[in-house]
Amino acid sequence: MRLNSPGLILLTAAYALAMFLVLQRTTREKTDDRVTIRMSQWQLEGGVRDGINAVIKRYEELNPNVHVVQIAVPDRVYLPWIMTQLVGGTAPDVVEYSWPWPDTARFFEPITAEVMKPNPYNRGTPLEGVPWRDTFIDGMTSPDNYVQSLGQYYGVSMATGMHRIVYNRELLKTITGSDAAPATYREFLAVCNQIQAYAKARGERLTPLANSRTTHTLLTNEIVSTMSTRLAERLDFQHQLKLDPLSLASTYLRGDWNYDSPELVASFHVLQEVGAQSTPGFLQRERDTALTDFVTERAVMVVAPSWEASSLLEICPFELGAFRFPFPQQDDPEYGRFAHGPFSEGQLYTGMPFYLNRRSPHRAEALDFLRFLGSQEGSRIFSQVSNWLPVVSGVTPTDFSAKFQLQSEGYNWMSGFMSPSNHQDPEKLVLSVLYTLWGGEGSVDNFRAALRTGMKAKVRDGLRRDAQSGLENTRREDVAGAALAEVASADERPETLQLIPVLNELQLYQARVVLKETGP
Amino acid sequence: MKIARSLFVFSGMRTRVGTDRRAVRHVLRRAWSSLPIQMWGAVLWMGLFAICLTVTPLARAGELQDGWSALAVYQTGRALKTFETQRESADSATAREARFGYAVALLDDQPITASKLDESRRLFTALADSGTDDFAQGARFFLGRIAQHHVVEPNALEASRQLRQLISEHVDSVWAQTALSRLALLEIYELNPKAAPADRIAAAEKLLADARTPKAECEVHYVIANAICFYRLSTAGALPHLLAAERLDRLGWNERREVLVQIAELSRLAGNAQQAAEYYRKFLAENPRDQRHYIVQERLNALVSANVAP
Repeated sequence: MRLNSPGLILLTAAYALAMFLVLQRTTREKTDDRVTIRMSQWQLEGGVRDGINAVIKRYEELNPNVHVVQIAVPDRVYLPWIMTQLVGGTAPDVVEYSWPWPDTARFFEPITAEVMKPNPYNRGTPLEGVPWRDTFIDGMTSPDNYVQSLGQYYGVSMATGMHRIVYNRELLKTITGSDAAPATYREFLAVCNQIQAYAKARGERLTPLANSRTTHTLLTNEIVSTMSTRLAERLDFQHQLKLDPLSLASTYLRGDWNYDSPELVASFHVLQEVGAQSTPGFLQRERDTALTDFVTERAVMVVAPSWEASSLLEICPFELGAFRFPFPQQDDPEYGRFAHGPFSEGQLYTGMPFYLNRRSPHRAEALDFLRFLGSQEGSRIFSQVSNWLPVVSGVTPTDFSAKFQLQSEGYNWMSGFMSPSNHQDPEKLVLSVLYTLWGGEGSVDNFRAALRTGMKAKVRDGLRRDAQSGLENTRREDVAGAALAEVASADERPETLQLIPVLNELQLYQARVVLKETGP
Repeated sequence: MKIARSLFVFSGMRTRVGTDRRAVRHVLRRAWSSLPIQMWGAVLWMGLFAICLTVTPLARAGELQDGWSALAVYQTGRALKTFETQRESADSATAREARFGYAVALLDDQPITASKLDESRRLFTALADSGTDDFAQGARFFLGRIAQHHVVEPNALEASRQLRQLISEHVDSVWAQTALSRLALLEIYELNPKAAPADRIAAAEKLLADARTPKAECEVHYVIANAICFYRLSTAGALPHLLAAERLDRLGWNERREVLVQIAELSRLAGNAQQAAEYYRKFLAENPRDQRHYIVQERLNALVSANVAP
């Protein structure tokens, strides 16, 4: 063996470096008297890690006996990584998680009792004395906060998001003479036509709207939803002024609606018109490509969610504007009879939720850190540094992110006609046949025909899976409910056992009935 | 006699050992203070003997509490071990509780197998058929639930038979009161699929007579109202059930907000503008951030501007 072998030297150096890093970390842990709590998350977008670090820094100033370590893991590997950690008992104390993922009840501790009490970190603010739950802009009603299937509060959110059409103000002014955003659907189409004409006259490769296979859905679903409010109202057999996925799936399978319903056909025509203004071949393109088109001024506008727009602000050398897509309204000459506005952008949902690991050895400190994350000060620090939208009442967003704030006033039946299921397969089917609408030979009729084929089986499968997961939840909560009753003292026993909420159990039966009634 | 009676009461109270320690202390204090002073020496000796007899089971009962606590947080393996050690306890109450706990834990012991379910069912059957205490009632409840949900092929008839027996024998117990709404589900969706939905719902309505707690009654009303809408029967039939469920004040937050909207909407459709307005307002006050705020407010405004609601 020759010592001057480059491979061996490299190996030795790598080994020595690894040893150094391990020893350094171990030594630091041994000599640090503080309680160390770890938090994991998968948001690697620009500004987020800095935002969390800023929150941690302030928290450690307030709590010198606690040290918080942020573990950022790429989203593509996050779920298998965290599942391994949770099963192995080595998961961080505070975990970014999501309610549809497995075994929430088994891995995480509900914080229902805690969210009913005031957050001590809100002392001295207008939120002092207010139950923690009510200090969030959504009242912790988002599915990641209140896990409906378990009837308990689990997650503490840090951000909310909404999409907008972000545009290049200078370029728009150069082309149209005005940098004002279009106010109506017809104005939007007129602006797009001007851009097309401008590009053609100069022989430039310039499209009105940069779009991609992942970002178009932000617009697509909303267009269909706004055009179908009257259809949704007709289908509300539960009289709840909303259509949840179970209702949508049931009514679809029972034949109450289909993709030939006039409202949906009209919405497909709008989709086709918007697709014609988008980057050619956008169904095959990734969101990064759409952003690149916009940044390099090959597109005047781009569909952008708020969590990506903060990066655009840093990258783009030109001034940005942002506007909400102007959906056809009642006065639209062609689609007015289907539109019933104003349109709300839907229920305000918060996200980026952090859950409390049931096996945390430092439960008190981890819970305390969660309280700071979800306090006015914590939220203000995070949103200012990250440029993401805040979730705690009274915290103002940055000027740019304010353009992405959800507009909640208006009609929204929470209807997902493009995905009538709690599961993704129906939506995947829609996405896989969108080429029949937007492709070279695409048409609304072709798209409707493609949706007729195969959708029923997907919706049925989703409903079957709902019934199965409902059954598993019911079984598990039977056991926990009995145990809770036995733990309680005689005078504290509940009136009935705390099983799965009866709403969830009846939905299990209703799913079975619909499956049986509408057999394959 | 007083001592004997006290000890009898004491042992009787141990049916639910571990949850009644305060009551035990109270009984001992009462027995002690009621004795003549000449008997204190004899009582001290007897007391020592009694302590020897009772401390061991109480310690065991504490262990059982650990088992339940583990099960409440889904630590099934730990719970099984705890209950296993006490299954053959010489103290019959402890042994019954341990067997009950073991059988319950088996239902969540992954992977769930047919043999575990059989073992669980065997233990529950033995408990249910050999007493009337809390564990016999709980065992009967779980015999119903196993047939309803835990077996691969649910048996609605068997489930309803067990739940009905529980309700008829121990209607006041927490187990029977929990069983009511679950039996209502079986009546409506499973037991008699060839009957008209209205008849099945009528059968479920009869269960309301057995409700002894507001929560149980509320759950049955809620199940019935939901079924009326699901089967698209006349919504006039759903409204009284929704109103009753709301007035009983036991709905969870999520169910409550849906019920408030439903009452308002069905009242509006029935022409009861005043009641509709009342519940629209209640919904708005309790759910200021709900997505339906706009449409509810619009409907309320329409009622007010038409002068049909105050």
